[in-house]
Amino acid sequence: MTHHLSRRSLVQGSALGAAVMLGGHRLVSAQDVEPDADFLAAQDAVVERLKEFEGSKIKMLSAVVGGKDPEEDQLFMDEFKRLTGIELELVHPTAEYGQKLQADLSAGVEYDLIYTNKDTMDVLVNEGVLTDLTERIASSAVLSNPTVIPTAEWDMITYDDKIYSVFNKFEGSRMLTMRADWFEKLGLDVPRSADQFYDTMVAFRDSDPAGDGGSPIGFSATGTYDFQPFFSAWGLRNGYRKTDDGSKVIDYASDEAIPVYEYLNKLYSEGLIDPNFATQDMAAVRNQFMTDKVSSLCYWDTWVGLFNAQMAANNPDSPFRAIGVAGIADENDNITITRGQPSIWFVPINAPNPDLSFLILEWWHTFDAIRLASLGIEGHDFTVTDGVYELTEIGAQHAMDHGVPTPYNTNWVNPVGELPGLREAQEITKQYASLDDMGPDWGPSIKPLVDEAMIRMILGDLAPADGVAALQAELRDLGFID
Amino acid sequence: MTGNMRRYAWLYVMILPILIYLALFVYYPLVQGVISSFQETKLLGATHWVGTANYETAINTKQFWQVVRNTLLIGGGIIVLGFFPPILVALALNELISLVFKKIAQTTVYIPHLFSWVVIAGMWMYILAPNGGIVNETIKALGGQPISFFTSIPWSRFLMIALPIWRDMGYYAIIYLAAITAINPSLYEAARVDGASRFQQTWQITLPLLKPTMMVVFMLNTLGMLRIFDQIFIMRNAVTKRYVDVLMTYVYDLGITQHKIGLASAISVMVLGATLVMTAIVWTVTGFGKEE
Repeated sequence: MTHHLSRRSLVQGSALGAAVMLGGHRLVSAQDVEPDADFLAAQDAVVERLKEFEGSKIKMLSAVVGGKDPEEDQLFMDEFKRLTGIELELVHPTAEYGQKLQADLSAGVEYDLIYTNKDTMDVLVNEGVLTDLTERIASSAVLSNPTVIPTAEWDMITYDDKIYSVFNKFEGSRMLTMRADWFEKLGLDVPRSADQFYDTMVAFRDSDPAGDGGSPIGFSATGTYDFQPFFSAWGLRNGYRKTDDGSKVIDYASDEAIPVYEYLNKLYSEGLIDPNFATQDMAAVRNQFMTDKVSSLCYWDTWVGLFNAQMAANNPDSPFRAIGVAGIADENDNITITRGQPSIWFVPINAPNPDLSFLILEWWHTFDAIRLASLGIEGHDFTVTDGVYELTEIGAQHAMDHGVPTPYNTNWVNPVGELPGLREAQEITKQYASLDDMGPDWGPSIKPLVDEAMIRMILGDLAPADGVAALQAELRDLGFID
Repeated sequence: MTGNMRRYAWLYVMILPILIYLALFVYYPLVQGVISSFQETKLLGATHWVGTANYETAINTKQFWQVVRNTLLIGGGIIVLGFFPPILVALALNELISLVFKKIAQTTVYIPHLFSWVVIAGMWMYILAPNGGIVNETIKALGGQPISFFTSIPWSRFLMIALPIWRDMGYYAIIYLAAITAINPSLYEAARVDGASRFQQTWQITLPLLKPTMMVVFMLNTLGMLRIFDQIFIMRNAVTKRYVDVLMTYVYDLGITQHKIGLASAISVMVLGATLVMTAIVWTVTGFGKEE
């Protein structure tokens, strides 16, 4: 089954047709949403309660939330104070966040709120570092409202019926991203099976779609995570899970994965996979995609919009148009896409004022906070004239991302507009993406073994059947599979 | 004694800041690390004593012995294979007659030492890239198959040894060159009068008189052998990690990534102990510090 481009391109084309240039970025008008009345009332109540804490101080350790540099961090803190009346001390390390987090926790540094992701939270829960927020969340009119955070989402961060954190933003998925303009130029359909995907990559490589005499590489990646869509074609999932009968399953190390490795090795040996994939970083991959050297990559859905916006801003005459592709379906026409691990805020057990910490977590999902953490600082990243929002040049460079480019709150309407192609990509996420089961052993113990074997099989250093057998033996020896 | 202390009181006052610095930033963390190695440490909250459990866990872990092997292979490789090249470079530099050319050559071989490992890794990844790297493009032009150097297990191990040698060769060559310059010229004059060739002068005069410098360099390298980290941390990848990870990257992974502070501390203490033992052995075998 294939989706002909004409349908998809009509959607995409109409979206771009409605695009407007704001602050140098081509953006799409947002859909109108009627805000939930209960949410609006709860939001007003949070703002009222903040007044009780006016003049208080709060200290947050953040990885992604804040300004793009120390100067903008200061503006972010000033804006936070203007909006809440609370003085914010934002600790925003530029690198080695995990190291900073651990060092500060070990040293007993007092924070009111700390940002992290689910992988780290899995460890911290066992360390007893996190404050139990279950009751507070249940009684919060903002956070318990399903239009703010869908109820089922909380399951992702629930440990033995307890919730220790609150989401930072909606996490998208990593999906195949390709060139809509190349599909149109060559009159090709969007692929949906592994064979179609192979044919598409060959066609792009051999037909000079960019018109510069080049032969774009079919697929570029960084590491092994990006190959997930190919495993979808054989109905396999990333991660480590236990089945209902107690069996321990690692799909990527199963016999069923052998055809996937054979397929990937075939792509590699025919020059369709970037040979630098095991060592390069994502910036290199993005650069290749935006300079016509690569025809597909697997990346966050948000980047579909960012690719289009950046190209429109920097090279408006380029026909470049990225689209998210649902992925490669298995024989039952099922597609699986891996959703990003939740990013969260938690209140450490030594937080000086847990009541204020939690109130800020509620405020984080109101319009003022979302505007700050997405568009940025008023007067710096965007301006408002007679109710019309416009990104400044700096705001356009920051691409409406100050930690929350994609909020959970469905009542929020971005007043500037949406990144072109993003909504369609997010629809794919909603339809197909789900969280992988991983568990605490996956990251430190299992993934390194799987990664090593996977790359060697793709490169051809190991025959897939031998590689999988050796991997199974090692995992069995360590007790990770039966 | 008291009189001496009063007499030299100002010297003790002058040394006080550095003693405070060492106490706070060297010895306190060291003692804390030793204590942590006998504890199960929580990030916040209570810790409890576990005796030698962390040490037992370490030595009963297969991965620990793998990284010990890697450390000895890579660290030992750097010491052994990297010992003579700086001497050869220094001897070659010493033979240059043109002062300008000598300065240019000295600077050229020294420059890599100034680069951070991030720059060096990026540069060599670019040079050795399977697609577009100058080395592989040359191999392809000659009809060969490209080599994925950084994902090849033997090549990556070789690079972990060769690149530090290349990076530090100029630095150690300058040390040797300084030592050569300090050799009394009358020894060479006397040798020339006796009819010694250039090679004989080098063999009979220069190299023997470089022995103390060689021992210093050897000792420094031995002290650093178990602490190599930067190049491994930056250049390892999913394929080679198991084959190039060394003790310090293992400690980093355990302590920082997995929050196993006690286990990481236990291994750090073992590294410290092993370094002291190795230094004592090298000290004894080479007769370091003894007057000839």
